[in-house]
Amino acid sequence: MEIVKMEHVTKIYGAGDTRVWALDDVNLSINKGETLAVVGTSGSGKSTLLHVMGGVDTPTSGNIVVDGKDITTLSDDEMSVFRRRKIGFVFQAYHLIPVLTVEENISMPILLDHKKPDKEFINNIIEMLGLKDRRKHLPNQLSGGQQQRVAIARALANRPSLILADEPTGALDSTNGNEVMALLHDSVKKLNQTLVLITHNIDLARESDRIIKISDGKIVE
Amino acid sequence: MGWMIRLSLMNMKRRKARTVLTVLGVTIGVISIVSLLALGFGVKKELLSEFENENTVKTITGSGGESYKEKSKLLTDRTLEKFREIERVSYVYPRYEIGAVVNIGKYTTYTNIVGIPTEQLEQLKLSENSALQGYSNKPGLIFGNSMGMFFYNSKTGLSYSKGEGERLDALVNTSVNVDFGYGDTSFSTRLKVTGVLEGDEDDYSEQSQNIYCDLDKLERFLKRSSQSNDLSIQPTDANGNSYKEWIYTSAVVVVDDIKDVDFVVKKLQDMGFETFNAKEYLESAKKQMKMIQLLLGGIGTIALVVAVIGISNTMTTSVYDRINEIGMLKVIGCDTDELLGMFLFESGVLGFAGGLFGVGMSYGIKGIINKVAVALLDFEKGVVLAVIPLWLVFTAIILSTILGILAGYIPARWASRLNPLEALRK
Repeated sequence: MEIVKMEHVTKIYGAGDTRVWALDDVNLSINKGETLAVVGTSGSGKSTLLHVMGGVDTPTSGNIVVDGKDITTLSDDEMSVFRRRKIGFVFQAYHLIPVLTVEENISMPILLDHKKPDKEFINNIIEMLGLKDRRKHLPNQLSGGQQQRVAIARALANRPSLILADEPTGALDSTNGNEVMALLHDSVKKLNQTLVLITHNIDLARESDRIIKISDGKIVE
Repeated sequence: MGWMIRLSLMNMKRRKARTVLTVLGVTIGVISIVSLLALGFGVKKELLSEFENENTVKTITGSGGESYKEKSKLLTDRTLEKFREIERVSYVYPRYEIGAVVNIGKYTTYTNIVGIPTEQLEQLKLSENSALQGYSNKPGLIFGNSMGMFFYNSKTGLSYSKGEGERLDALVNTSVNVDFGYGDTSFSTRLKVTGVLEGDEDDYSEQSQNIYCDLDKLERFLKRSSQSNDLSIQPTDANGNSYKEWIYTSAVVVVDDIKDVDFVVKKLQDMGFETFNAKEYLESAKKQMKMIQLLLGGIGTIALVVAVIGISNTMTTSVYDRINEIGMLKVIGCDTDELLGMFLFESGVLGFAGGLFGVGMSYGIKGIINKVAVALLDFEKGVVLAVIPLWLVFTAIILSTILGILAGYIPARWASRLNPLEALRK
């Protein structure tokens, strides 16, 4: 079953002579439960691909259907709702909320959706990511690897349709990076989630079900 | 909602110094407005309390003014009867005043002796050993409590109260020398002091600087005396002839309700009489007080405006500080309205806290004003110079909260409309 379907997606930045085709007629479909690695040089358009797929950026043209819904037709507010229910983001720079505890940070997407967090499920995630002893800690009391694990837990918390990770290990040393990546893959598999992962570490990419390469806004292989 | 409030409060707690300083700014603004207004209210109340006495305001004094030559404008019993017929008039009584030189031994003063009807005389509050009337057919005098300071010894230059060091009460049941009129037509008599009004020498009231006596007795006494002494105690007509009826100096008209004052004043003036009423003074005094209060309030407002700019500044800095956090909140699906609400809540809390502390500290300042200023400025003990009405408490808190929210609006709107990706990159 397809969870993402992109058709003729183009994203152009700037105007006139300075126009940049960040995405150029991209067609892509991703199946439910699949893990997809996106590789490419910097400036190739891989981040833009992730952003338009996750609804934080809008394509200049083309259609993007996520979980049966064409997100290119949504208003800003509908897009917010879409993001909080369907997408889990993990960024290179964790972006945790500094004044909230680990547990509160993880529950945030559920709170934003005006729901009561499912304690059992949250505990499950916390345990899965090895954060059991850290739940009452503030982000600045954690190591980089631990912070990224919190960010992953947050992305999983609202049981989204799609996890989008933009170089999640980019800020970590290789030991920590490998550990985090292993946890990410494990969690995604256990919860039967779909993962799109941007990386330029080819070893990490190989652990995914499928790899695509982007160059100058086009999928080349 | 809950997370929003918690996130706001946690962020304020995280930047304690900034939060405290901003709240302090608002607190100072609120203190200056509230305590300056409180001072205004208190002073106004204190200054006006004397006039605010309903009976004073309800009383209109009517007189014929300079028009003694016109018969219809003479204050006779018949004229007073006409006053009684005016709508909304409660009661009317006449006053007759006559100038006299009064001697207490070596102490002399020139003053008016005021005759009022027995029922009015009975309203006066007398000191302990006083009586309203003597048994003599001469009028008995009732001294106002401040009269002692008006009698002077021409040799020593001291007043009776200073020179003798005695209270006026000592005069009760003694006789004083009274010279009515002047020049060839003057005549002397001795009149008994039957009473002294209650109160200390410096307790000022409408009555404290007068000598009162019974109107009937005064009238009869003067009539008797004028026959034998050719005393001109009554106005005459154009030809210099006396009128048949007794003419009073003034008429006191008391109305049913303060609201009726203007109506009755108008009627009396239409009839050609001059009027005096405390309400006019009251109104001009009130106007002046309002001016003073506006001025004081204006100074306070400037302080509050500066404080509000402080809130706006704090909120702008706060948005800059948390721009990544805002970006991430947007990425994980926080919508515009909620973000706006979160920042408005924060600036509202700053305003509210400032209002709360400001009002609280204003109470302290009120206490200090009422203790220190009253002592320094030599007011009587118990005089309240600053008053904080309850409505001011609520208005100050609500207003500073609203101002806080308004001050936060522009930074809050900016935060809520940030592009999430750009915010994350900063």
